[in-house]
Amino acid sequence: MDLFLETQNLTKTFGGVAAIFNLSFATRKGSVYSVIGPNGAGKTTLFNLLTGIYKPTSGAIRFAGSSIVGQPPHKISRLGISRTFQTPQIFLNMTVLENTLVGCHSHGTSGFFSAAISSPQSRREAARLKEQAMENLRFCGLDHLAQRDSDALPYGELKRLEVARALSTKPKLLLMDEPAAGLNDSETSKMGELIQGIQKLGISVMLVEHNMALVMAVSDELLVLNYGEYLAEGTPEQIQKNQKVIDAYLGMGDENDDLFD
Amino acid sequence: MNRYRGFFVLALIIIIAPIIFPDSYFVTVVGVTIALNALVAVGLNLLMGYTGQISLGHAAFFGIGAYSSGLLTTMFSWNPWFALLMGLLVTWLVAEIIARPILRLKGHYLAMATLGFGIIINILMVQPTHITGGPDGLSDIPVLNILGWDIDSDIRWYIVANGALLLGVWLALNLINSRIGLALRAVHGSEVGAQMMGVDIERIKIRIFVVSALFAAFAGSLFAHQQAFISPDSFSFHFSIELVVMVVLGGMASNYGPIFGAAVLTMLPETLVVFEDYEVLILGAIMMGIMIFLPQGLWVGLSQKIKPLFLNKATSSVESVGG
Repeated sequence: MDLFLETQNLTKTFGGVAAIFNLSFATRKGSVYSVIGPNGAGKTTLFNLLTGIYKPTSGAIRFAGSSIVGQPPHKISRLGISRTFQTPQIFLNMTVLENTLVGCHSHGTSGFFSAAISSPQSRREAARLKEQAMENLRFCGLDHLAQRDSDALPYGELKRLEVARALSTKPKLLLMDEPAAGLNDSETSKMGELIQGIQKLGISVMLVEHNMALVMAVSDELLVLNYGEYLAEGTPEQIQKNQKVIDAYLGMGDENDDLFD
Repeated sequence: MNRYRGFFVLALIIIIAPIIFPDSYFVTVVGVTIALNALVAVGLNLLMGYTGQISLGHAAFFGIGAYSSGLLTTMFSWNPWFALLMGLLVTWLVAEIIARPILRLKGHYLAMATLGFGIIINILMVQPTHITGGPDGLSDIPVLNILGWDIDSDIRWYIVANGALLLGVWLALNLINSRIGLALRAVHGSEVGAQMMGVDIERIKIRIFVVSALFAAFAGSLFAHQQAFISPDSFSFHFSIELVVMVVLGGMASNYGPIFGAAVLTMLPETLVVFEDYEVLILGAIMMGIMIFLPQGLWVGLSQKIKPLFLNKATSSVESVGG
């Protein structure tokens, strides 16, 4: 398997404080690659760097062989990296289907003029995109809610809607920021199945998650961050036995007794 | 089609009104002003209601359209239609140039910047007296002519102004129900979310700003020909605020709300004239009342209250929760 997303000496400082420091790692195509670490380890900052929301202070990010440093988020999205957010960034002023349709934005071409006169092409295109969006909703088990206002959805379904919307951009790599946060056990296991389903579609996944059971179940490889720095990398089995990782987590407090359940 | 149902109702109202009240001052005279104001409000709603970007300077674009038509037809004897096209072109250019720096701003800062822009344009209308006529304005703007048909009576203007409004509503309706419209509403919902979905938010904000400016300029050109006289007073900060009030009062992000808002805000002062000195006082109280009791605006608020009356009780309670 070839390298897919890689960073070299990636650093991001905020007013002298390094949120990410000298971080180098590489993911493989088709894998589920998870980033774990205590709170404040810089996981979300890393995602914001990878998606162009933040610009790195120094270092390189390469995706499928070419540098993406300095590209704006919408360009990175079009290159094939999509993401979901820790706090869902759902368009609450729209229905479930409309949210998913926005994900199809870069796969349409009709502009302001042909849209305003409702040209035959733009109508054909809208029908085609709607089919794609519905397919992604079905994949995430939300098709029966397509016409519902998204602000009326329970939290677990909002989280899945974010996945459906991100899949509609047809990503090669999907970054998922704490997809199980705030979910109950049955919703979490559904989310785990969804992640495995996404992998089966041939889409690489990068996961930030605190639920270790979920992480260990779905991940091919793990990266452990501590205070923005590389701590360890390896398969779930290797990480569970890694003394540095255990120390970093146990230093956090007694909630870690059941860390690797 | 479902999408156009409201459009046909609007067209029907516009056609029937002058038939029922053939001599009514309200329909023929106020109706023209309502239609032109509504046209600007519909355009502004695309920017404000759907995309979530405020503009307190839209009277300037209305004015650029009006002054382009006024100046080119009186000083250079241009054909009014070429003058109108030129007005749209100038507006496009101005909107594009100021949108680039201004739309990087958000919220109050954007409001202040657009406000400043509106004031600058207004000063440019007042100061070069030898060109624009200064505070006295421009007069003797020629009559508009469509295929040999002079638009010189109230009822003819009613047809032209409302025809323009229907055209504007139709374009806005199509736009908002398209891929572009979804992207605009996504920008309102979550900018970072929209970006990650591949929407170039900077570019789409500029585009919709230009489009809404063109709506205003088109209405402004018609206004100049209809009035035959224009002065900077019609394009001041006061009118910009009125336009925003029309959109908010009628209902943001609803297709017909701004038209309703324009109608109410244009007619109310005319109706309240009987109260003489207390006119403004009562107008203010009515607007406060609407915003307190129908915060989503008249159109959305009233239709939510009226809808359950037409449904049976069991479904109505569900509807009002969902809506």
